Amino acid sequence: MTETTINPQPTVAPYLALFESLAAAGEEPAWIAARRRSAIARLGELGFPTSRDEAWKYTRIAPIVEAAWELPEWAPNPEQLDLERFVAWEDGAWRLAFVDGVFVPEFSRVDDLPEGTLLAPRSELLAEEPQLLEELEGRHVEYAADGFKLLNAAFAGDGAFLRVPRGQRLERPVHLLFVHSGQQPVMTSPRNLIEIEDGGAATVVERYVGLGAGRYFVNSQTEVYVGRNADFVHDRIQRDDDTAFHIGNLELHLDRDARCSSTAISVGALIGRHEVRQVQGGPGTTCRLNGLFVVDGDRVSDNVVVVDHSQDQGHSEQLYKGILDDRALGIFNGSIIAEEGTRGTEAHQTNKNLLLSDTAVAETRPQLEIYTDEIACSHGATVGQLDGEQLFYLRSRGIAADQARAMLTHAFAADVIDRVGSAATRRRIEDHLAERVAWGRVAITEES
Amino acid sequence: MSMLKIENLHATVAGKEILKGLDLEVKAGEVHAIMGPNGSGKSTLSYLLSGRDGYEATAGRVSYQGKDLLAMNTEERAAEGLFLAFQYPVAIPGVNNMYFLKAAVNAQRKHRGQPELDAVEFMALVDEKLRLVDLKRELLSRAVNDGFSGGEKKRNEIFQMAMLEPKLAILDETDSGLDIDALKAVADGVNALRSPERSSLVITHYQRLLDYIVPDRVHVLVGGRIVKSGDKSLALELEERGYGWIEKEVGAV
Ligand SMILES: Nc1ncnc2c1ncn2[C@@H]1O[C@H](COP(=O)(O)OP(=O)(O)OP(=O)(O)O)[C@@H](O)[C@H]1O
Ligand SMILES: [Mg+2]
Repeated sequence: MTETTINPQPTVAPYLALFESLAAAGEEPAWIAARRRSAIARLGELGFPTSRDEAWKYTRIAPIVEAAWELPEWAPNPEQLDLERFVAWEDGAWRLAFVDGVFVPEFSRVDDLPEGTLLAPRSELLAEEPQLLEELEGRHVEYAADGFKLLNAAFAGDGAFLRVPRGQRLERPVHLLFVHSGQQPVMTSPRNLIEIEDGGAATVVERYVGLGAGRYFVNSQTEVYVGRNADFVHDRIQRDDDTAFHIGNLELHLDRDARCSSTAISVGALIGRHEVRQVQGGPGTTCRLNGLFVVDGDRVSDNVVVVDHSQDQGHSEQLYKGILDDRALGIFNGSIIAEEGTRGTEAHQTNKNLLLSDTAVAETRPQLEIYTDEIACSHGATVGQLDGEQLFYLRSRGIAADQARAMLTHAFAADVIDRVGSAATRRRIEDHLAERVAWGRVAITEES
Repeated sequence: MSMLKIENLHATVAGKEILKGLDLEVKAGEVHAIMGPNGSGKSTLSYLLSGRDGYEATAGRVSYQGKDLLAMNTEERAAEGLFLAFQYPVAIPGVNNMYFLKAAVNAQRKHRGQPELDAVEFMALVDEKLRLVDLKRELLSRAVNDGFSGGEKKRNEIFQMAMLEPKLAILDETDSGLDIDALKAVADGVNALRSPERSSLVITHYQRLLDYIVPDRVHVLVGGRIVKSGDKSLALELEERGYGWIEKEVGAV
């Protein structure tokens, strides 16, 4: 893997100071305090990533880390935020909601969970069952040399804890809603932990939305363990404000014969980054990692995928698509690692980018580290524009140029959207994208 | 009344002059056929009339229903009733055929100040036109032309034409590569639209189609110009004798 610079970055200092105020603020179990201290110490040594770090080559992080952030202390009154509009479509899902990093019970729904399933905010677990968190949290996070993961560990805030017991299959999705009001210039560090025990199944929708009042910085970490022969379906929607910063990490640890499909739709943030890491804890795993990023203006979307096949019969598929307008920068950095001695690996990767302007830029970097011959592997990347012949065909039937472009843009994204796991979410995503690319809400009217 | 009047049309594609002084007039209610050797400019003419980017008129005039056709953009021409059945219809993965058709029908209705069709009205229209054109209903729920056979693509073009009920339909070799059943379906589609206020321009290499769609006039396009016009018997003569004698006659390229 890649290495971060060894010199501490000057920008770390404010975070060390901020950390002191956090430490002074509250009482926590000693093990948490110890984990925080060790993370901040590592961050102090390593500093934030720089462009010399391969995985951070194109994304400038200075605008993020040089801003003066505060820690969340209070949540705006949810009554005044009109949050209902974000959840009206959820179709009976269970939900945990957080506003500016703070859990909002009034807006959460954890009633009538099946026996044995535990869904609670991390803060509640810390108060009531800290030993469970101590045992499970952080087991599958590869901190390695990533300053932002360390930053999250040091400042780890509230987030979701979900445990689905052995053999239980949740019939309704679980929504994790992270709202940022922008009323305070906060850095939030959502910390989510999902454990699906052997043979269990869950669909989790992880959503980040902004309310447009000002700048903020989300630095989230979601850690998932999918047990033997268990199923995990995950939709991750990042629709933060265009002035906000979003760094998100997803660690997927798949045990023997586990199946996982995770779809990341990223349409917001001034600088947004999402990294998924899939690790095999046993043979026979299947993992589909899908992504759609839509950026315009001067915004940046950085998408990192690392699929590590360390066991036999690991199957993976990456499908990432970028839609880039104006002077936007879209990055796809996808790795396939097949470790020595593994057999029966099947790994595929596709990245396609659609440029809607002459000034948008797509950087696509497939990275293969294959140390075995017993593998079926493919990868392909394209960067292109809308097809002139298709546009002409649509227009020749009377469809206005704008609508024709919107239809083709939508068609480009359709196969990724089709992979969104929850039907209600899929429809909702069409909405987000309609706002974003003004593509006439084509698919919404189609579905209703 | 004149439906289409082309006068001394010169046009370039990628900087190369393809149409070199073309004259053609189609009156309302008439069906005209255009025949001509490969590369003579038939498709170029149809694209130019539809307003495709990159096809530039450098001289001459085209009036359509009394309006300056070249001043309109592609979608305006379509909404004003011009329809092109493509020689090679493009596949559009990810765009549902039915959805596309509804968008097209309603875009045109909106342009004409008519109320848009709702889902029920639209389906009724689809049912009616499906009976006319023998197209597998299943194709409507697929992406536009995606994975369609050659014949299915051509039938889909005719189905679109039936749905959109154009004033002037240009069929660019819609008959090429079709079996006799499909050929009849195409002819039925064109004939169903025949009326005193509609016209068709049928580009073809084969007289066979013209047995079913009997043209009022047949034109021969050679080297970017109409070099000979006649009645239906000209098509028969071309089929027998080829184009060599005409090219010799006019001394064309
Ligand atoms: N994009 C282009 N760039 C350069 N030349 C072109 C282009 N499109 C068409 N041409 C040329 O224009 C000429 C006329 O082509 P066109 O397709 O109009 O012929 P056609 O009469 O339709 O032939 P066919 O019977 O084979 O369909 C040909 O010489 C062709 O090579
Ligand atoms: Mg042609």
